[in-house]
Amino acid sequence: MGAPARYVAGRLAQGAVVIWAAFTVTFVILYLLPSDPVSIMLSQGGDSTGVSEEAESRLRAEFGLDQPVLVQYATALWRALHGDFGDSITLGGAVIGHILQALPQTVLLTAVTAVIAVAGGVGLAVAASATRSRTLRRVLTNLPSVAVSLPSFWVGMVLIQLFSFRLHLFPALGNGGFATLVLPAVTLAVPTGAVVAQVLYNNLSGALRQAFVEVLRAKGLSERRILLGHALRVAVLPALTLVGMNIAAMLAGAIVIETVFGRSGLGRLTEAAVSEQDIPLVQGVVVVSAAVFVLVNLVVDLLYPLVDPRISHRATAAS
Amino acid sequence: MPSLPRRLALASLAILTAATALTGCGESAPTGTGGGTPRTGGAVTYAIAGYPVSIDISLQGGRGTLAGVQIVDTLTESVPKTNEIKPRLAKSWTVSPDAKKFTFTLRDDVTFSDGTKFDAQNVKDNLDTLVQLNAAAKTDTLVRSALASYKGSTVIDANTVEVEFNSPELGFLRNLSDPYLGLLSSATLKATPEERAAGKLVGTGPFVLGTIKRNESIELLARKDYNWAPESTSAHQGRAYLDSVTFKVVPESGVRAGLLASQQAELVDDVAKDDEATVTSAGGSIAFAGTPGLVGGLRQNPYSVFGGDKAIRQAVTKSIDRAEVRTTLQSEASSQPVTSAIGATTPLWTDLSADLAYDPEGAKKILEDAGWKAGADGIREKDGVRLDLKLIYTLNSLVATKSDLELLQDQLKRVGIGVTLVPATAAEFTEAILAIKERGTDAQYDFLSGSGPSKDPSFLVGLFRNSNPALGGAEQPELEAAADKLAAATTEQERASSAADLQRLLVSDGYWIPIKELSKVVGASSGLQGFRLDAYALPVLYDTWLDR
Repeated sequence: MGAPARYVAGRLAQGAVVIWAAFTVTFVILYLLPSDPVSIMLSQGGDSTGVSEEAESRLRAEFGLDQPVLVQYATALWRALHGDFGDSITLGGAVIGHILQALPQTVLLTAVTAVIAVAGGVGLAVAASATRSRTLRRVLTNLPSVAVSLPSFWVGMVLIQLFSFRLHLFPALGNGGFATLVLPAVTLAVPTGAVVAQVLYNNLSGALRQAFVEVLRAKGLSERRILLGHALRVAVLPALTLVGMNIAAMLAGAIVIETVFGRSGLGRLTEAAVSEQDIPLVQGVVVVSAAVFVLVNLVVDLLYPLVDPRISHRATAAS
Repeated sequence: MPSLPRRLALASLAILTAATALTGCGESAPTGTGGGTPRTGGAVTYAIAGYPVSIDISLQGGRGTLAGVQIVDTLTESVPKTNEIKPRLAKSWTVSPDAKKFTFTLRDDVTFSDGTKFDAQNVKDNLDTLVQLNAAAKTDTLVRSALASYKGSTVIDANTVEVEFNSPELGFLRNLSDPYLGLLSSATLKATPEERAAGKLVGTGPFVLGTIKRNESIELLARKDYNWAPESTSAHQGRAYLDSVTFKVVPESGVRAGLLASQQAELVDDVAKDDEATVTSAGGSIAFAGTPGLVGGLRQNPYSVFGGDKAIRQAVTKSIDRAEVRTTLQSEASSQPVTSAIGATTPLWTDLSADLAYDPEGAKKILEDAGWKAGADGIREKDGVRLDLKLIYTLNSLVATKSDLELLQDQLKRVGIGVTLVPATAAEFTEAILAIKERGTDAQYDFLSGSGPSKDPSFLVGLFRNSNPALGGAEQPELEAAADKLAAATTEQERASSAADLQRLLVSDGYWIPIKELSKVVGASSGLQGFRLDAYALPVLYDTWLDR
């Protein structure tokens, strides 16, 4: 096995541990809750009448809830390894089916969000670094801290009001095609984009003060080429890492965004699963989200050498 | 749904939306001016708050599913306001003197949308299947309650069926008018509960299910050969006017109202008070109907020290200024004052407005007499115990929102009763209820906020017998006896008087502390005519048409 391959294998093994830990922690938390999902299902709001205990225990057996906890854990883990998270208690049908149906919508949303966040964040940071007007720079550098403190729920509602109800430019909701993606993705991109802009601007300022920039200036390169061709390349790495880390925040943000924009996806599924204490569904969602997170961060790490040739995974793998 | 900064969002909407006075509201009245000749054709989008767990209304999680209601017919029909029971798929019926045996004569011109014929055998199969599903705990509480003493059905001939119960079931004819006992084809009855919940349903109703996109939308298509609409409540005969209705899931109330105002939807469900202006300023109208059943209110935890204390419950009942709750938090245009433990549209409702009057002095007197003296911070105390009630409620509940309860908190403080609000998810709420007996006086809550599905007073029996988890087997003989008496009624007269007695006891002893009457509020666009809500506050789309 070559060094890069060994590196990837090592990272995958780490990822597997992260996913296993996510699975186990979720299981323990859900198991510690005082009641079980069957009694919750049968007595919504306490108005259950006329269910025999026999029927109740039959349902419990149907979901394997009558087994000792270790057996439940082992069974669940073994099944999960095979991509089977059991059946959803509230929705019926295989959990993995519900997740696979919801996942593409959320992945698409997250991907478009990441693109908008990076484009917007980089654009803002570059503009702030390039501008000669001090006032404009002050406005541009303060924009991220304002943007990051806006609740995305509110941003979403304002965008809907403006671009859908008033200007009729984009549909307010649904999952129908690219047009429906724009507003939710922009909403979700605001906090991540703001962080990217902030970090990137600081890095750019730092990079522009470094010695190699003086050399480049001495060579007669234009400020624009220095900024875009050299300084940006150095400064962009931490921002890239941030995007990877923020994938988790975006998946969490999807819970709110998908509700506001009436989209179906992993966020809405998570919300339903948690509020109804649908244990198999919650576990499925957690494991799949953890897997997505691990994968995205692996991809980001693998991108480093492409952006900055000084970094090689050879060295990391050898250590 | 996560707790969202809703106030903030609404404030922003208020700035962006020009608000005008409410116009065109009316209970149960069909929408539109009624002018013009109904036009056949057209597609309507109906924005709903959530995707149903089950499209089949008779199953767990299917209660009130709007699409499920439109595809079935029921044996009987209930007329709004008068609550009279009229024929629908059953042409006529007889009831045995002991109210245990019902014989129905059925229409013989009715078919299911898969072409099969509706007959007596089908009625028997429907009821038998529901009883089997009841035993497997797959059905809604209401179905379990309605068929709890079902003995069996006998097919007399193709159009005559006899249904028998083990105990008197005076509510059965009314239960039959509720869509959860709507008739489904033999093919549907063979399907699994999961298939039925997902929409594998064939009924005799004016619409059939079209494209279903889970969590997104449900489409209804008009059935062209439909010709058996209930005469007592319908404005026309023959097929439904609309070609199709698409239910779209739009969780946010503000977004739903905005869709109507921007002509992206013709009907919007569950319009919040703050969003009514958005609908009416766009020329739309608000249709509303009181929801039959237990009104939004508080239920005691019989095991807790405060919840189990009659004097405290009575003081709480007197301390609530219900008129203020209504003017502050409900839209007066789409709500009615609360008048009993059950909604005014519920059959056998008794007007107890006088017992629900705001009487802070009376409340103070009860508390003084019971030894609760004013403490340092205004909250009463007795033997070093602060009178601070723990009130549990579910987040995002339409029954009593956080703002309702905060107002209540404020009102009770005026007489020296403290209230600590305990927010909970649906699951946590149920967990807390299931644990009351075990925890005893070490209670997680003293009162819970809720409502109850009692479309017929018979359901009150199940809701107030101590077999209900919310009462957890607590010994409260007076309440138990009142519920038993209603259950044992064999004549309409007995039933009416025992239902009234039970309501009176619930209110006077605070077994149910009413806060507000619940209503279903639907926004309709200006071009939409003939939309109405039925006796159960469920939308009827059969007579609805578009005048453009």
